[in-house]
Amino acid sequence: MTAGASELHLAADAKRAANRERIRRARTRRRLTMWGVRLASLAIVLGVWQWYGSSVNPILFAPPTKIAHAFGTLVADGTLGRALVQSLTVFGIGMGAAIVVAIPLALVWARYQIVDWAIQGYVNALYATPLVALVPLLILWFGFGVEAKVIIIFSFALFPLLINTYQGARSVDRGLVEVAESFGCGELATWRHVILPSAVPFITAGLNLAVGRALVGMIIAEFYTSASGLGYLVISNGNTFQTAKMFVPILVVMALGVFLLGVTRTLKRKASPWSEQEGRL
Amino acid sequence: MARAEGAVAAPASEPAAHAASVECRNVEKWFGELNVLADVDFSIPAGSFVSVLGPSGCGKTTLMRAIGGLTGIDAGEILVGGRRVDGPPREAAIVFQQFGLMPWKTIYDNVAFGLSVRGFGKAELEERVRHYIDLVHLTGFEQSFPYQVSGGMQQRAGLARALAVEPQLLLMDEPFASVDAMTREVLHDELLGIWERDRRTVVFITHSIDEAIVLSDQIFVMSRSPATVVEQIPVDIARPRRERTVRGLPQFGELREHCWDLLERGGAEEAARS
Ligand SMILES: Nc1ncnc2c1ncn2[C@@H]1O[C@H](COP(=O)(O)OP(=O)(O)OP(=O)(O)O)[C@@H](O)[C@H]1O
Ligand SMILES: [Mg+2]
Repeated sequence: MTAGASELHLAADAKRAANRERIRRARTRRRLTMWGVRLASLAIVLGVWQWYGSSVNPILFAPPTKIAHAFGTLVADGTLGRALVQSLTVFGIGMGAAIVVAIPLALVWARYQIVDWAIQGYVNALYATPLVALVPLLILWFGFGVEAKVIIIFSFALFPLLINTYQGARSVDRGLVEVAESFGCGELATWRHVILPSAVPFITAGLNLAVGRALVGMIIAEFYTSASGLGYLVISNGNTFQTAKMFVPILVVMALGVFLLGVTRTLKRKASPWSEQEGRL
Repeated sequence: MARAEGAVAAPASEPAAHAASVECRNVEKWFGELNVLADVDFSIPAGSFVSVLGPSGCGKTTLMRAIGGLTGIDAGEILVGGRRVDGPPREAAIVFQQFGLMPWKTIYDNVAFGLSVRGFGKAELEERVRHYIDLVHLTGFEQSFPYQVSGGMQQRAGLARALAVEPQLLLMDEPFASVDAMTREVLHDELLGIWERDRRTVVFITHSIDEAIVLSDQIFVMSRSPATVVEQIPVDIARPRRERTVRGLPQFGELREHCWDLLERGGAEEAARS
Protein backbone atom coordinates (compact mmCIF):
# COMPACT_ATOMS: atom_id res chain seq x y z
CA MET A 1 0.00 0.00 0.00
CA THR A 2 2.45 2.64 1.23
CA ALA A 3 5.05 1.44 -1.24
CA GLY A 4 2.51 1.81 -4.05
CA ALA A 5 1.53 5.28 -2.87
CA SER A 6 5.11 6.49 -2.68
CA GLU A 7 5.78 5.07 -6.13
CA LEU A 8 2.86 7.09 -7.44
CA HIS A 9 4.33 10.13 -5.76
CA LEU A 10 7.68 9.53 -7.37
CA ALA A 11 6.09 9.14 -10.78
CA ALA A 12 4.18 12.41 -10.35
CA ASP A 13 7.36 14.17 -9.21
CA ALA A 14 9.27 12.88 -12.20
CA LYS A 15 6.52 14.07 -14.53
CA ARG A 16 6.52 17.48 -12.92
CA ALA A 17 10.31 17.75 -13.19
CA ALA A 18 10.19 16.72 -16.85
CA ASN A 19 7.55 19.33 -17.51
CA ARG A 20 9.60 22.03 -15.83
CA GLU A 21 12.63 21.05 -17.87
CA ARG A 22 10.60 21.19 -21.10
CA ILE A 23 9.25 24.65 -20.30
CA ARG A 24 12.71 25.89 -19.38
CA ARG A 25 14.18 24.63 -22.62
CA ALA A 26 11.41 26.19 -24.70
CA ARG A 27 11.97 29.49 -22.93
CA THR A 28 15.73 29.39 -23.57
CA ARG A 29 15.13 28.65 -27.23
CA ARG A 30 12.73 31.57 -27.50
CA ARG A 31 15.17 33.93 -25.86
CA LEU A 32 18.03 32.85 -28.14
CA THR A 33 15.86 33.45 -31.19
CA MET A 34 14.85 36.86 -29.90
CA TRP A 35 18.42 38.01 -29.41
CA GLY A 36 19.47 36.52 -32.71
CA VAL A 37 16.82 38.55 -34.53
CA ARG A 38 17.72 41.69 -32.64
CA LEU A 39 21.42 41.40 -33.42
CA ALA A 40 20.76 40.66 -37.08
CA SER A 41 18.44 43.65 -37.34
CA LEU A 42 21.02 45.89 -35.68
CA ALA A 43 23.73 44.66 -38.05
CA ILE A 44 21.55 45.42 -41.06
CA VAL A 45 20.62 48.89 -39.83
CA LEU A 46 24.24 49.76 -39.06
CA GLY A 47 25.39 48.30 -42.38
CA VAL A 48 22.92 50.34 -44.42
CA TRP A 49 23.70 53.43 -42.38
CA GLN A 50 27.42 52.93 -42.89
CA TRP A 51 27.01 52.46 -46.63
CA TYR A 52 24.65 55.40 -47.09
CA GLY A 53 26.48 57.65 -44.60
CA SER A 54 29.79 57.24 -46.44
CA SER A 55 28.27 57.89 -49.83
CA VAL A 56 26.73 61.33 -49.14
CA ASN A 57 28.16 64.73 -48.33
CA PRO A 58 29.67 64.49 -44.78
CA ILE A 59 28.03 67.80 -43.89
CA LEU A 60 24.62 66.19 -44.22
CA PHE A 61 25.20 62.79 -42.67
CA ALA A 62 27.76 60.67 -40.89
CA PRO A 63 28.41 56.93 -40.90
CA PRO A 64 28.57 54.94 -37.60
CA THR A 65 32.36 54.59 -37.75
CA LYS A 66 32.83 58.37 -37.87
CA ILE A 67 30.31 58.84 -35.10
CA ALA A 68 32.13 56.27 -32.97
CA HIS A 69 35.36 58.11 -33.57
CA ALA A 70 33.74 61.45 -32.66
CA PHE A 71 32.32 59.79 -29.54
CA GLY A 72 35.82 58.73 -28.54
CA THR A 73 37.15 62.26 -29.05
CA LEU A 74 34.32 63.90 -27.08
CA VAL A 75 34.73 61.45 -24.21
CA ALA A 76 38.51 61.83 -24.17
CA ASP A 77 38.52 65.63 -24.01
CA GLY A 78 35.76 65.60 -21.35
CA THR A 79 33.27 67.58 -23.43
CA LEU A 80 30.62 64.89 -23.44
CA GLY A 81 30.95 64.09 -19.75
CA ARG A 82 30.67 67.75 -18.80
CA ALA A 83 27.63 68.29 -21.03
CA LEU A 84 25.94 65.19 -19.66
CA VAL A 85 26.47 66.29 -16.07
CA GLN A 86 25.20 69.79 -16.86
CA SER A 87 22.10 68.41 -18.55
CA LEU A 88 21.35 65.85 -15.85
CA THR A 89 21.73 68.48 -13.14
CA VAL A 90 19.12 70.85 -14.56
CA PHE A 91 16.91 67.92 -15.52
CA GLY A 92 17.07 66.49 -12.00
CA ILE A 93 16.35 69.81 -10.29
CA GLY A 94 13.50 70.72 -12.65
CA MET A 95 11.93 67.28 -12.53
CA GLY A 96 12.31 67.02 -8.75
CA ALA A 97 10.74 70.43 -8.24
CA ALA A 98 7.84 69.45 -10.51
CA ILE A 99 7.19 66.31 -8.45
CA VAL A 100 7.39 68.14 -5.16
CA VAL A 101 5.03 70.88 -6.33
CA ALA A 102 2.61 68.94 -8.53
CA ILE A 103 1.61 66.06 -6.27
CA PRO A 104 0.59 68.01 -3.15
CA LEU A 105 -0.99 70.73 -5.28
CA ALA A 106 -3.02 68.15 -7.20
CA LEU A 107 -4.20 66.56 -3.95
CA VAL A 108 -5.39 69.91 -2.61
CA TRP A 109 -6.99 70.57 -5.98
CA ALA A 110 -8.82 67.24 -5.86
CA ARG A 111 -9.88 67.69 -2.25
CA TYR A 112 -11.35 71.19 -2.30
CA GLN A 113 -14.11 72.05 -4.73
CA ILE A 114 -13.25 75.74 -4.39
CA VAL A 115 -9.70 75.15 -5.58
CA ASP A 116 -11.08 73.05 -8.42
CA TRP A 117 -13.33 75.87 -9.60
CA ALA A 118 -10.55 78.39 -9.21
CA ILE A 119 -7.72 76.67 -11.09
CA GLN A 120 -9.09 73.99 -13.39
CA GLY A 121 -9.49 76.33 -16.36
CA TYR A 122 -5.93 77.61 -16.19
CA VAL A 123 -4.38 74.21 -15.72
CA ASN A 124 -6.22 72.75 -18.68
CA ALA A 125 -5.41 75.75 -20.86
CA LEU A 126 -1.72 75.59 -19.96
CA TYR A 127 -1.65 71.84 -20.49
CA ALA A 128 -3.08 72.35 -23.97
CA THR A 129 -0.61 75.13 -24.82
CA PRO A 130 2.52 73.99 -26.65
CA LEU A 131 4.92 75.17 -23.96
CA VAL A 132 7.62 75.69 -26.57
CA ALA A 133 5.76 78.89 -27.39
CA LEU A 134 6.42 80.14 -23.87
CA VAL A 135 10.14 79.40 -23.84
CA PRO A 136 11.23 82.81 -25.23
CA LEU A 137 9.06 84.48 -22.64
CA LEU A 138 10.54 82.41 -19.81
CA ILE A 139 14.03 83.29 -21.02
CA LEU A 140 13.06 86.95 -21.08
CA TRP A 141 12.00 86.66 -17.46
CA PHE A 142 14.68 84.40 -16.07
CA GLY A 143 17.71 85.08 -18.19
CA PHE A 144 20.06 82.61 -19.84
CA GLY A 145 21.40 80.80 -16.79
CA VAL A 146 20.72 77.54 -15.03
CA GLU A 147 17.69 79.10 -13.39
CA ALA A 148 15.87 79.56 -16.69
CA LYS A 149 16.64 76.01 -17.75
CA VAL A 150 15.33 74.56 -14.51
CA ILE A 151 12.14 76.59 -14.82
CA ILE A 152 11.58 75.50 -18.40
CA ILE A 153 12.04 71.82 -17.51
CA PHE A 154 9.84 72.30 -14.45
CA SER A 155 7.01 73.78 -16.48
CA PHE A 156 7.23 71.02 -19.09
CA ALA A 157 7.02 68.31 -16.42
CA LEU A 158 4.49 69.97 -14.14
CA PHE A 159 1.23 69.61 -16.04
CA PRO A 160 1.12 65.91 -16.83
CA LEU A 161 1.96 65.19 -13.20
CA LEU A 162 -0.60 67.67 -11.90
CA ILE A 163 -3.42 66.46 -14.10
CA ASN A 164 -2.74 62.77 -13.63
CA THR A 165 -2.49 62.99 -9.86
CA TYR A 166 -5.71 65.00 -9.76
CA GLN A 167 -7.52 62.48 -11.90
CA GLY A 168 -6.16 59.64 -9.80
CA ALA A 169 -7.47 61.14 -6.61
CA ARG A 170 -10.80 61.96 -8.25
CA SER A 171 -11.41 58.58 -9.81
CA VAL A 172 -11.18 56.72 -6.52
CA ASP A 173 -13.75 53.95 -6.10
CA ARG A 174 -16.55 55.48 -3.98
CA GLY A 175 -17.31 52.00 -2.69
CA LEU A 176 -13.87 51.73 -1.11
CA VAL A 177 -14.21 55.15 0.47
CA GLU A 178 -17.39 53.85 2.05
CA VAL A 179 -15.61 50.73 3.25
CA ALA A 180 -13.06 52.94 4.97
CA GLU A 181 -15.79 55.08 6.49
CA SER A 182 -17.64 52.05 7.78
CA PHE A 183 -14.52 50.90 9.60
CA GLY A 184 -14.23 54.26 11.27
CA CYS A 185 -11.70 56.07 9.07
CA GLY A 186 -11.68 59.84 9.38
CA GLU A 187 -10.77 62.04 6.47
CA LEU A 188 -7.02 61.70 6.94
CA ALA A 189 -7.10 57.93 7.31
CA THR A 190 -9.30 57.65 4.22
CA TRP A 191 -6.71 59.57 2.21
CA ARG A 192 -3.92 57.43 3.56
CA HIS A 193 -5.58 54.05 3.11
CA VAL A 194 -7.74 54.59 0.05
CA ILE A 195 -7.39 57.74 -2.02
CA LEU A 196 -3.60 57.98 -2.20
CA PRO A 197 -2.96 54.32 -2.97
CA SER A 198 -5.63 54.30 -5.64
CA ALA A 199 -3.98 57.35 -7.23
CA VAL A 200 -0.55 55.69 -7.39
CA PRO A 201 -0.97 54.14 -10.87
CA PHE A 202 -2.10 57.53 -12.19
CA ILE A 203 0.85 59.27 -10.55
CA THR A 204 3.39 56.87 -12.00
CA ALA A 205 1.75 57.17 -15.43
CA GLY A 206 2.01 60.95 -15.05
CA LEU A 207 5.66 60.56 -14.11
CA ASN A 208 6.25 58.60 -17.29
CA LEU A 209 4.69 61.35 -19.40
CA ALA A 210 6.48 64.06 -17.44
CA VAL A 211 9.91 62.52 -17.99
CA GLY A 212 9.36 62.47 -21.74
CA ARG A 213 8.22 66.06 -21.80
CA ALA A 214 10.97 67.22 -19.44
CA LEU A 215 13.60 65.81 -21.80
CA VAL A 216 12.12 67.84 -24.63
CA GLY A 217 12.11 70.88 -22.36
CA MET A 218 15.73 70.26 -21.43
CA ILE A 219 16.97 70.16 -25.03
CA ILE A 220 14.94 73.21 -26.03
CA ALA A 221 16.20 75.15 -23.04
CA GLU A 222 19.77 74.28 -23.95
CA PHE A 223 19.21 75.38 -27.54
CA TYR A 224 18.11 78.81 -26.43
CA THR A 225 20.14 79.54 -23.33
CA SER A 226 23.70 79.51 -22.04
CA ALA A 227 26.44 77.39 -23.55
CA SER A 228 26.07 74.14 -21.68
CA GLY A 229 24.51 70.72 -21.80
CA LEU A 230 23.80 68.15 -24.50
CA GLY A 231 21.45 70.47 -26.38
CA TYR A 232 24.19 73.05 -26.74
CA LEU A 233 26.56 70.32 -27.93
CA VAL A 234 24.09 69.50 -30.71
CA ILE A 235 23.64 73.12 -31.73
CA SER A 236 27.29 74.15 -31.58
CA ASN A 237 28.50 71.15 -33.61
CA GLY A 238 25.65 71.68 -36.06
CA ASN A 239 26.56 75.33 -36.54
CA THR A 240 30.16 74.40 -37.34
CA PHE A 241 29.12 71.54 -39.66
CA GLN A 242 30.76 68.84 -37.54
CA THR A 243 27.99 66.42 -38.29
CA ALA A 244 29.59 63.32 -36.78
CA LYS A 245 30.10 65.17 -33.51
CA MET A 246 26.54 66.44 -33.67
CA PHE A 247 25.24 62.87 -33.77
CA VAL A 248 26.95 61.95 -30.51
CA PRO A 249 24.83 64.06 -28.11
CA ILE A 250 21.71 63.16 -30.10
CA LEU A 251 22.37 59.48 -29.55
CA VAL A 252 23.19 60.09 -25.91
CA VAL A 253 19.88 61.89 -25.38
CA MET A 254 18.11 59.04 -27.12
CA ALA A 255 19.75 56.53 -24.79
CA LEU A 256 18.92 58.73 -21.83
CA GLY A 257 15.28 58.85 -22.86
CA VAL A 258 15.05 55.10 -23.30
CA PHE A 259 16.69 54.56 -19.93
CA LEU A 260 14.53 57.06 -18.01
CA LEU A 261 11.29 55.84 -19.54
CA GLY A 262 12.33 52.30 -18.68
CA VAL A 263 12.88 53.38 -15.09
CA THR A 264 9.45 55.01 -14.78
CA ARG A 265 7.75 52.04 -16.43
CA THR A 266 9.40 49.69 -13.99
CA LEU A 267 8.42 52.00 -11.17
CA LYS A 268 4.82 51.90 -12.37
CA ARG A 269 4.82 48.12 -12.42
CA LYS A 270 6.50 47.79 -9.05
CA ALA A 271 4.51 50.48 -7.28
CA SER A 272 1.08 49.18 -8.26
CA PRO A 273 1.19 45.54 -9.30
CA TRP A 274 -2.58 45.31 -8.88
CA SER A 275 -3.25 47.88 -11.58
CA GLU A 276 -1.48 45.76 -14.18
CA GLN A 277 -4.27 43.22 -13.77
CA GLU A 278 -6.80 43.33 -16.60
CA GLY A 279 -10.35 44.22 -15.71
CA ARG A 280 -9.70 45.14 -12.13
CA LEU A 281 -9.34 48.36 -10.29
CA MET B 1 -8.56 36.97 23.86
CA ALA B 2 -9.10 40.57 24.81
CA ARG B 3 -11.98 42.35 23.13
CA ALA B 4 -12.26 45.87 21.78
CA GLU B 5 -12.55 48.37 24.58
CA GLY B 6 -16.17 49.13 25.34
CA ALA B 7 -17.29 45.54 24.86
CA VAL B 8 -17.46 43.59 28.10
CA ALA B 9 -16.50 39.94 28.15
CA ALA B 10 -19.68 38.08 29.07
CA PRO B 11 -20.35 34.81 30.86
CA ALA B 12 -21.21 31.97 28.49
CA SER B 13 -24.82 31.87 29.60
CA GLU B 14 -25.38 35.37 28.29
CA PRO B 15 -24.18 35.49 24.72
CA ALA B 16 -26.04 38.73 24.05
CA ALA B 17 -23.52 40.82 26.00
CA HIS B 18 -21.15 41.15 23.06
CA ALA B 19 -24.00 41.55 20.62
CA ALA B 20 -26.01 44.69 19.97
CA SER B 21 -29.72 45.00 19.37
CA VAL B 22 -31.06 46.88 16.35
CA GLU B 23 -34.21 48.93 16.30
CA CYS B 24 -35.80 50.73 13.41
CA ARG B 25 -38.65 53.03 14.36
CA ASN B 26 -40.86 54.32 11.55
CA VAL B 27 -37.87 54.73 9.24
CA GLU B 28 -38.48 56.61 6.02
CA LYS B 29 -36.05 57.26 3.21
CA TRP B 30 -36.46 59.30 0.08
CA PHE B 31 -34.19 59.80 -2.91
CA GLY B 32 -35.63 63.02 -4.25
CA GLU B 33 -39.12 62.11 -5.42
CA LEU B 34 -38.52 58.41 -4.92
CA ASN B 35 -39.82 56.99 -1.65
CA VAL B 36 -37.64 53.94 -1.02
CA LEU B 37 -38.38 53.09 2.60
CA ALA B 38 -41.84 53.82 3.94
CA ASP B 39 -42.39 53.28 7.63
CA VAL B 40 -39.93 50.44 8.25
CA ASP B 41 -40.43 49.32 11.81
CA PHE B 42 -38.85 46.37 13.55
CA SER B 43 -36.58 45.36 16.35
CA ILE B 44 -33.89 42.73 16.35
CA PRO B 45 -32.87 41.30 19.71
CA ALA B 46 -29.16 41.14 20.47
CA GLY B 47 -27.54 37.95 19.29
CA SER B 48 -30.12 37.17 16.66
CA PHE B 49 -29.52 36.29 13.01
CA VAL B 50 -32.03 38.10 10.82
CA SER B 51 -32.26 37.92 7.06
CA VAL B 52 -33.90 40.70 5.10
CA LEU B 53 -35.54 39.30 2.01
CA GLY B 54 -37.11 41.35 -0.73
CA PRO B 55 -37.44 41.84 -4.46
CA SER B 56 -34.63 43.51 -6.35
CA GLY B 57 -34.56 47.27 -6.00
CA CYS B 58 -36.92 47.38 -3.03
CA GLY B 59 -34.43 49.13 -0.77
CA LYS B 60 -32.58 46.39 1.09
CA THR B 61 -29.18 47.91 0.50
CA THR B 62 -30.52 51.31 1.43
CA LEU B 63 -31.83 49.91 4.70
CA MET B 64 -28.52 48.26 5.48
CA ARG B 65 -26.57 51.40 4.67
CA ALA B 66 -28.86 53.34 6.95
CA ILE B 67 -28.27 50.92 9.83
CA GLY B 68 -24.54 51.06 9.09
CA GLY B 69 -24.62 54.86 9.28
CA LEU B 70 -23.48 55.30 5.67
CA THR B 71 -26.63 57.13 4.64
CA GLY B 72 -29.04 59.32 6.56
CA ILE B 73 -32.78 58.77 6.90
CA ASP B 74 -35.59 61.24 6.39
CA ALA B 75 -37.89 60.25 9.25
CA GLY B 76 -37.93 57.93 12.22
CA GLU B 77 -34.86 56.66 13.99
CA ILE B 78 -32.48 53.76 14.06
CA LEU B 79 -30.89 52.49 17.25
CA VAL B 80 -27.92 50.16 17.44
CA GLY B 81 -27.17 48.86 20.92
CA GLY B 82 -29.71 51.36 22.21
CA ARG B 83 -27.88 54.34 20.72
CA ARG B 84 -29.16 56.44 17.88
CA VAL B 85 -27.26 55.93 14.63
CA ASP B 86 -25.50 59.03 13.42
CA GLY B 87 -22.55 57.97 11.30
CA PRO B 88 -21.08 54.47 11.28
CA PRO B 89 -21.62 52.92 14.72
CA ARG B 90 -18.53 51.50 16.40
CA GLU B 91 -20.42 48.32 17.18
CA ALA B 92 -21.05 47.49 13.54
CA ALA B 93 -18.96 46.01 10.77
CA ILE B 94 -20.07 45.49 7.20
CA VAL B 95 -19.40 42.68 4.74
CA PHE B 96 -19.87 44.14 1.27
CA GLN B 97 -21.39 42.51 -1.76
CA GLN B 98 -18.47 43.36 -4.04
CA PHE B 99 -16.08 42.37 -1.20
CA GLY B 100 -14.70 45.90 -0.88
CA LEU B 101 -11.10 44.77 -0.49
CA MET B 102 -8.33 47.29 -1.10
CA PRO B 103 -6.52 45.98 -4.18
CA TRP B 104 -3.24 47.53 -2.99
CA LYS B 105 -3.27 45.71 0.33
CA THR B 106 -2.37 42.09 0.85
CA ILE B 107 -4.98 39.73 2.29
CA TYR B 108 -3.25 40.15 5.64
CA ASP B 109 -3.37 43.95 5.52
CA ASN B 110 -6.96 43.90 4.33
CA VAL B 111 -8.00 41.76 7.27
CA ALA B 112 -5.98 43.99 9.58
CA PHE B 113 -7.57 47.15 8.18
CA GLY B 114 -10.31 47.73 10.75
CA LEU B 115 -7.95 46.94 13.62
CA SER B 116 -5.22 49.29 12.42
CA VAL B 117 -7.74 52.09 11.95
CA ARG B 118 -8.89 51.49 15.52
CA GLY B 119 -5.34 51.79 16.73
CA PHE B 120 -4.68 48.26 17.95
CA GLY B 121 -1.17 47.52 19.17
CA LYS B 122 1.06 45.38 17.01
CA ALA B 123 0.98 42.23 19.12
CA GLU B 124 -2.77 42.07 19.58
CA LEU B 125 -3.42 43.06 16.01
CA GLU B 126 -1.20 40.28 14.76
CA GLU B 127 -2.76 37.69 17.00
CA ARG B 128 -6.28 38.63 15.97
CA VAL B 129 -5.51 38.80 12.27
CA ARG B 130 -3.89 35.36 12.39
CA HIS B 131 -6.85 34.00 14.30
CA TYR B 132 -9.49 35.27 11.88
CA ILE B 133 -7.49 34.42 8.78
CA ASP B 134 -7.29 30.92 10.17
CA LEU B 135 -11.00 30.90 10.97
CA VAL B 136 -11.96 31.61 7.37
CA HIS B 137 -9.35 29.16 6.04
CA LEU B 138 -7.07 31.67 4.36
CA THR B 139 -3.87 30.63 6.09
CA GLY B 140 -1.06 30.58 3.55
CA PHE B 141 -2.56 33.41 1.50
CA GLU B 142 -1.64 36.26 3.86
CA GLN B 143 0.82 37.80 1.42
CA SER B 144 -1.33 37.38 -1.68
CA PHE B 145 -3.11 40.35 -3.19
CA PRO B 146 -6.87 40.16 -3.73
CA TYR B 147 -6.50 39.84 -7.51
CA GLN B 148 -4.42 36.74 -6.98
CA VAL B 149 -7.13 34.76 -5.17
CA SER B 150 -10.59 33.52 -6.14
CA GLY B 151 -13.85 35.37 -5.52
CA GLY B 152 -14.76 32.99 -2.72
CA MET B 153 -11.42 33.65 -1.03
CA GLN B 154 -11.85 37.38 -1.45
CA GLN B 155 -15.18 37.23 0.32
CA ARG B 156 -13.62 35.12 3.06
CA ALA B 157 -11.14 37.94 3.53
CA GLY B 158 -14.02 40.44 3.60
CA LEU B 159 -15.69 38.36 6.28
CA ALA B 160 -12.49 38.03 8.29
CA ARG B 161 -11.93 41.78 8.10
CA ALA B 162 -15.38 42.40 9.57
CA LEU B 163 -15.07 39.66 12.19
CA ALA B 164 -11.61 40.82 13.25
CA VAL B 165 -12.96 43.98 14.87
CA GLU B 166 -15.25 41.66 16.87
CA PRO B 167 -18.34 43.68 16.07
CA GLN B 168 -21.48 43.45 18.12
CA LEU B 169 -23.42 43.80 14.89
CA LEU B 170 -22.50 42.30 11.56
CA LEU B 171 -24.17 43.78 8.50
CA MET B 172 -23.96 41.67 5.37
CA ASP B 173 -25.26 42.84 1.99
CA GLU B 174 -25.71 39.86 -0.32
CA PRO B 175 -22.19 38.77 0.57
CA PHE B 176 -22.37 35.54 -1.39
CA ALA B 177 -24.26 36.78 -4.44
CA SER B 178 -21.15 36.95 -6.59
CA VAL B 179 -19.55 33.62 -5.75
CA ASP B 180 -20.44 30.34 -7.45
CA ALA B 181 -23.10 28.03 -6.02
CA MET B 182 -20.72 25.44 -4.65
CA THR B 183 -18.51 27.95 -2.91
CA ARG B 184 -21.64 29.62 -1.58
CA GLU B 185 -22.74 26.44 0.14
CA VAL B 186 -19.34 26.00 1.74
CA LEU B 187 -19.39 29.62 2.90
CA HIS B 188 -22.89 29.18 4.34
CA ASP B 189 -21.71 26.32 6.47
CA GLU B 190 -18.62 28.21 7.58
CA LEU B 191 -20.70 31.24 8.48
CA LEU B 192 -23.13 29.04 10.42
CA GLY B 193 -20.23 27.49 12.32
CA ILE B 194 -18.68 30.85 13.14
CA TRP B 195 -21.98 32.46 14.09
CA GLU B 196 -23.24 29.60 16.23
CA ARG B 197 -20.10 29.89 18.35
CA ASP B 198 -20.30 33.52 19.40
CA ARG B 199 -23.74 34.71 18.26
CA ARG B 200 -23.20 38.28 17.28
CA THR B 201 -26.23 40.07 15.91
CA VAL B 202 -26.39 39.67 12.15
CA VAL B 203 -28.47 41.53 9.60
CA PHE B 204 -28.13 39.57 6.40
CA ILE B 205 -29.48 41.05 3.17
CA THR B 206 -30.36 38.59 0.45
CA HIS B 207 -32.78 37.84 -2.29
CA SER B 208 -32.29 34.13 -2.01
CA ILE B 209 -35.11 32.51 -0.03
CA ASP B 210 -33.08 29.34 0.52
CA GLU B 211 -30.14 31.23 1.90
CA ALA B 212 -32.39 33.16 4.27
CA ILE B 213 -33.98 29.97 5.64
CA VAL B 214 -30.71 28.11 6.04
CA LEU B 215 -29.01 30.88 8.00
CA SER B 216 -31.57 32.85 9.98
CA ASP B 217 -33.51 32.93 13.22
CA GLN B 218 -36.00 35.26 11.60
CA ILE B 219 -36.71 36.38 8.05
CA PHE B 220 -38.01 39.88 7.44
CA VAL B 221 -39.82 40.02 4.13
CA MET B 222 -39.94 43.43 2.47
CA SER B 223 -42.45 44.65 -0.05
CA ARG B 224 -41.62 46.47 -3.26
CA SER B 225 -40.79 50.12 -2.83
CA PRO B 226 -41.96 52.14 -1.08
CA ALA B 227 -40.88 49.28 1.11
CA THR B 228 -42.01 48.13 4.51
CA VAL B 229 -41.43 44.90 6.36
CA VAL B 230 -44.57 42.92 5.52
CA GLU B 231 -43.89 39.93 7.76
CA GLN B 232 -41.36 38.69 10.27
CA ILE B 233 -41.13 34.94 9.87
CA PRO B 234 -39.51 32.92 12.65
CA VAL B 235 -37.35 30.04 11.45
CA ASP B 236 -37.72 27.33 14.08
CA ILE B 237 -35.01 24.99 12.94
CA ALA B 238 -32.67 23.67 15.60
CA ARG B 239 -29.01 24.62 15.63
CA PRO B 240 -26.30 23.71 14.92
CA ARG B 241 -27.45 23.71 11.32
CA ARG B 242 -25.75 22.73 8.11
CA GLU B 243 -27.07 23.66 4.71
CA ARG B 244 -27.60 20.15 3.44
CA THR B 245 -29.46 18.90 6.49
CA VAL B 246 -31.67 22.00 6.63
CA ARG B 247 -32.62 21.56 3.00
CA GLY B 248 -33.82 18.05 3.78
CA LEU B 249 -36.26 19.13 6.50
CA PRO B 250 -40.03 19.37 5.86
CA GLN B 251 -40.12 22.87 7.43
CA PHE B 252 -37.73 24.02 4.77
CA GLY B 253 -40.26 23.42 2.01
CA GLU B 254 -43.07 25.01 4.00
CA LEU B 255 -41.06 28.14 4.79
CA ARG B 256 -40.00 28.35 1.20
CA GLU B 257 -43.60 28.26 0.00
CA HIS B 258 -44.60 30.87 2.51
CA CYS B 259 -41.81 33.27 1.51
CA TRP B 260 -42.62 32.81 -2.16
CA ASP B 261 -46.27 33.64 -1.47
CA LEU B 262 -45.35 36.82 0.36
CA LEU B 263 -42.96 37.96 -2.33
CA GLU B 264 -45.43 37.21 -5.09
CA ARG B 265 -48.26 38.95 -3.28
CA GLY B 266 -46.01 41.99 -2.94
CA GLY B 267 -45.55 41.95 -6.69
CA ALA B 268 -49.28 41.53 -7.33
CA GLU B 269 -50.12 44.46 -5.06
CA GLU B 270 -47.67 46.53 -6.99
CA ALA B 271 -49.36 45.53 -10.25
CA ALA B 272 -52.79 46.31 -8.80
CA ARG B 273 -51.66 49.76 -7.66
CA SER B 274 -50.42 50.90 -11.03
N1 LIG C 1 -27.88 57.11 -4.08
C1 LIG C 1 -29.08 56.92 -4.68
N2 LIG C 1 -29.68 57.92 -5.35
C2 LIG C 1 -30.87 57.75 -5.95
N3 LIG C 1 -31.56 56.60 -5.93
C3 LIG C 1 -31.02 55.57 -5.28
C4 LIG C 1 -29.76 55.67 -4.62
N4 LIG C 1 -29.47 54.47 -4.06
C5 LIG C 1 -30.50 53.66 -4.37
N5 LIG C 1 -31.44 54.32 -5.08
C6 LIG C 1 -32.72 53.75 -5.54
O1 LIG C 1 -33.40 53.24 -4.42
C7 LIG C 1 -34.03 52.02 -4.73
C8 LIG C 1 -33.58 50.94 -3.78
O2 LIG C 1 -32.22 50.66 -4.01
P1 LIG C 1 -31.44 49.56 -3.19
O3 LIG C 1 -30.07 49.49 -3.74
O4 LIG C 1 -31.56 49.84 -1.73
O5 LIG C 1 -32.26 48.25 -3.56
P2 LIG C 1 -31.93 46.73 -3.20
O6 LIG C 1 -33.15 46.17 -2.57
O7 LIG C 1 -30.68 46.62 -2.46
O8 LIG C 1 -31.77 46.12 -4.66
P3 LIG C 1 -30.91 44.84 -5.11
O9 LIG C 1 -31.65 43.65 -4.62
O10 LIG C 1 -30.94 44.94 -6.61
O11 LIG C 1 -29.56 44.99 -4.53
C9 LIG C 1 -33.73 51.73 -6.18
O12 LIG C 1 -34.83 52.15 -6.95
C10 LIG C 1 -32.52 52.58 -6.47
O13 LIG C 1 -32.55 53.00 -7.81
MG1 LIG D 1 -28.71 45.77 -2.89
